[in-house]
Amino acid sequence: MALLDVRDLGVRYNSIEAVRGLSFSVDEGTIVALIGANGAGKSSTLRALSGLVHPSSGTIRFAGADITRVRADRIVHAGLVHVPEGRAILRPLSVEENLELGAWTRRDHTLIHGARERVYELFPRLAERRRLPAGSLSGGEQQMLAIGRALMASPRLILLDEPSMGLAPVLVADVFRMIQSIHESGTAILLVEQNARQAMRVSSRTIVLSHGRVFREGPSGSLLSDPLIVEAFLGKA
Amino acid sequence: MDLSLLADPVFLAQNIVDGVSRGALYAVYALGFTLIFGVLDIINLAHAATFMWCAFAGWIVMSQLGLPLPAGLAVSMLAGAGVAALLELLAFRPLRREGSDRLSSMISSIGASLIMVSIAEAVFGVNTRRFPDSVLDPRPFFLGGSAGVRVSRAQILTIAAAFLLTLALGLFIRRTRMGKAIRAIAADQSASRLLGIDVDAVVIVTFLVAGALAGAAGILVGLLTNNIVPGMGAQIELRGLAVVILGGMGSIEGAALGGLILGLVETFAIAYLPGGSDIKDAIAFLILLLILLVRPYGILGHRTSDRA
Amino acid sequence: MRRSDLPRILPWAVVLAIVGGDAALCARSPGDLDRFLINAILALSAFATLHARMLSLASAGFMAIGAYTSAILAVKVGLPVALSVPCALLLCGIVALVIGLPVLRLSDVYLAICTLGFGEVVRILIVLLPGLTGGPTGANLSTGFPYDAMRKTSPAMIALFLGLLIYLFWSLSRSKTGRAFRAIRERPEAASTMGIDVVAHRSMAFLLSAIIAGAAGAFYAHSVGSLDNGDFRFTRAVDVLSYAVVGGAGQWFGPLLGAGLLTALPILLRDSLGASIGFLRDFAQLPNILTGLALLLVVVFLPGGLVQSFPRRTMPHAGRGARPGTQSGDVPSVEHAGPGAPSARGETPLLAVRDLSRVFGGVEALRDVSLRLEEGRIYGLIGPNGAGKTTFINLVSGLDSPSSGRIIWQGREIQGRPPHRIARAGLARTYQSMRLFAEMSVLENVIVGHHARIRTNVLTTWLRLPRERAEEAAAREEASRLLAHLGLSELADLAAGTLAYGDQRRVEIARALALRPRLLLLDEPAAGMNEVETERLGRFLIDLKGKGYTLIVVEHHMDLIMGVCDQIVVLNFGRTIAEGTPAEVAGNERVREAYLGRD
Repeated sequence: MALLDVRDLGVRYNSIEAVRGLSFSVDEGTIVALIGANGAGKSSTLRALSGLVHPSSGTIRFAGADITRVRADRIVHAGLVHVPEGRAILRPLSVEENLELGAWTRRDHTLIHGARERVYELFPRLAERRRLPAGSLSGGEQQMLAIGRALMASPRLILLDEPSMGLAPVLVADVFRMIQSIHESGTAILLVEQNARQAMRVSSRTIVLSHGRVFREGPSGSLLSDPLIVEAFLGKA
Repeated sequence: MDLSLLADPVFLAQNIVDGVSRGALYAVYALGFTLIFGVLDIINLAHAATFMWCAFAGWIVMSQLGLPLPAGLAVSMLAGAGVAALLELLAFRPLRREGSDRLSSMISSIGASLIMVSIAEAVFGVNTRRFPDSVLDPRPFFLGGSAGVRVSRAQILTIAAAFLLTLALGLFIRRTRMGKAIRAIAADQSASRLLGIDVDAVVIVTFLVAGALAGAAGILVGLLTNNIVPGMGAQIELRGLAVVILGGMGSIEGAALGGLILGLVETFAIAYLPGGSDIKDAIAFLILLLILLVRPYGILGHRTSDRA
Repeated sequence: MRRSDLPRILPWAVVLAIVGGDAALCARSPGDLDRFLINAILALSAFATLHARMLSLASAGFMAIGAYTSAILAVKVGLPVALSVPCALLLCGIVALVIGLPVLRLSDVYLAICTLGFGEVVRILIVLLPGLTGGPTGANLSTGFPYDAMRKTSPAMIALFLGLLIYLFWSLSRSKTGRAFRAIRERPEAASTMGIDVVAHRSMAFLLSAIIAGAAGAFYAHSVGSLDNGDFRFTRAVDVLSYAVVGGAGQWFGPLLGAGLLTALPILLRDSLGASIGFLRDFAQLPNILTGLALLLVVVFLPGGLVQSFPRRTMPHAGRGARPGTQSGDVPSVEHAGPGAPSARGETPLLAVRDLSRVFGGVEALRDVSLRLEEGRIYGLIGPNGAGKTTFINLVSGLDSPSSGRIIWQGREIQGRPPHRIARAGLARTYQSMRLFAEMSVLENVIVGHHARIRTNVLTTWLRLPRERAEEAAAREEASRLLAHLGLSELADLAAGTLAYGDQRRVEIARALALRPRLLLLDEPAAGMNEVETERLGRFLIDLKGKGYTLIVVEHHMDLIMGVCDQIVVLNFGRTIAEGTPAEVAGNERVREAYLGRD
């Protein structure tokens, strides 16, 4: 059984149908890339999955449980964490406080402490800046913080929305390395990216969204070499 | 103006004491108010009515039931917490669901305030009430002999309360888990949800705390002024606004500092300016206006793009 | 009468009930008539500010100023009402200008707080000047000059004034100024980039509100015959606010309805239920409790007030079956609105940007961006999210001022200028997240664009002079033609907010074109469009270029950009990283790395 199972998802904003009849699944411990043009419905899909918006139709099952109409904060308790576009860092709070709040759903202080130290090991730059307000961090550091914070909840699935957005190209490589190491720890990832090529390289499966529907789906490797995909989504030049 | 007043050190000291205790009262009132504004961006004009009802609750407990001061204070703070939570459920939460703007919540609080004050007028009438002398010894201390500076127990209590409450609130917000959650929703409600924080529950806690603070202020003002009437909120409301804007909206230390400043300025104006006692009510407004025009984010606030 | 008629009939039934009930009450106790009329006048005073989206709690203060001034002039100086009232109004106007100018710059809640304080200060002043005002014990108009017919007001006089006000507001709602207020109410920023001077309009609203409240005060003084400090407490301001909130500030008759309802309700309840529920008869707080309840309930359940339930006069909603607008014909040629002939290629650029920077609290949104744009070309502005594209457009259109650098339009520096001036100088823009005036019709949205060029005068607007009516008609005509050019004629009378997404985008462009700009700044015009619509948009943009317009297009749709632009500028982290023709940019390594995707 898949970890995340989405059937016939529909999302509307006022009169606009951002997503319609979307169906896909994510298996435990895998990385799935969700790519498509701007306005294709990628972020809307993630927002429906994490409970920020209510789907207008369809069902979402996570670890066997129906989470279609569950409130966003309860979904985090279930083990699904969403790192939204723009990172949603709590700017006035310190790096350390942000991380601690990432573990809001956990109670065991020893485990939380351990998780925090692991995040600092993974991201030494965050350790250096632990007491600084999160808003003072650079774009790349904020992305590290967002990912580290997500890890603090010890999730089974992380929804990553455009992690490389606004980052200098050299940092982009770092981000994808981080994604790789999360994968190695066993957490599943649903990755939404503008940087389609890189996303497809790091993932095992890719879903291509267009106008709110699935346009193509399959193993990332084969889609990468599909000329239609390349031309439509990766730029004509 | 009697120039000799300027040279009188005892008079000066007296005014400092009076000013600080007056300021301390404003500070305690403003703490609750600034908490709601800082966290939820709501200007709760029903805070004054809450404060008034708490004073009456204390009066009922201490004067009608004969219980001592600690009981009165406890009941008052509990009543405040309860009323504030009720306000959130009835007047503010429905607006949050619809995504209304700041003006709507302000208008909503005005409506709630009107109802609360009217009911109090109907129930208690216009006569002033006071706490019985038995709850706190009204005899003042005299520093420096019988012609020295006069300090009442109520004043000491108020100053101590302001200090302790500011400290406690600061610690609560900065060091406790719930306090961090409150700061989280103040920074970004949507992001907080994604961390698993139940935003509605945290909002209720915020109101409970703010209401309890209003309760403390209610008891203190009763002890200081011996004047409890349904209309007592009107006077302090404007001052509360001035204090909070002066100190910086949402800043706890700012509310304390702002309260202190306003208290001192008012007291000194009454003491040293001719006609000062007539214009003391206008001082708060003038300070308000000045700050909004010159430095809208207050002394301890910071610039954010969407403030005044 | 069918069930489906009910929603339409119900509001009118409510209006009838309110008007009828008020009339009945006044017939029964004529002394109440003055009160109803004065409350109605106060309601309009609240409408004046609320319909420009300002919450002013100053009405009690201005009412007091009007009341005391007129009373003092009549009783101590001996002026007849015909003179003392206008003098009182004049004073109110002056005070409004003096306190308004600094305070109107403040945003919503801070403005409300300041006006709250203003009311209190006025009351303090009244207490401080007992010689003039009788101090806290109040003033009686029968001391001094005789309180006779010359110094009294009759209900007829008040009713006449009210009638005049109603005419003025009715006339205003049909005029260009009324439309400007509706635009400001919905989207002040969009209004300003459409050439509407928001600050000036708000000042006008505040001034009007003050004068009307002052008039109400003056009438109050002369009809009641005695004044007391307590007549003008904060609760008075709240009452006035409640008329406007409960009735609804969307239409001028909303607050009148609110006043009618809230003035009558306590009396009715007392009379009808007072017999059975004894304490109601003497329940002095009943009016306040009803007002408070009404405010709470309305704000939560019916935010637009009673008028919200009225079907809009001219605006059916775009139904499901609304076809997208048809493609047709021609766009108007660009008119050279600014001074000087069209610039020849290669000489002074139409728009030059030099070292433009914008820093927000440590974040560099734009850094040293320099560009030269020549007339008659299409420029593309691309880059990853957060690269500074929208910041750039905000700076050029005047919604924001740069931290450093210059923006030179047709040889003149425009950085930091107010948006409405920039719009009038020939720069129009659209918004990434659309900012149509949703409650106005499509046609009206476009007419707003003509505002900058209709030369009506605020004062004469109400007189509806023939010249203005002619100009208004001409503007309407032009707007219709523009809609026809874009194939949107069928949608002209529909509420703009109910259109399909793609159509809304085109209306936004039509609105921008109504300004007759030389330069169009389009912020993601193809967002949310499918391939067919995007292609059509592309052809349309090329059409515009053919007519002499210059365009800057911010977009992510690479097909559109590559297909349509003459020159492309690529931003990343606030700096330009590349500039050139589509082919040059697409082949540029840095661009591919930053944006298109690395290999």
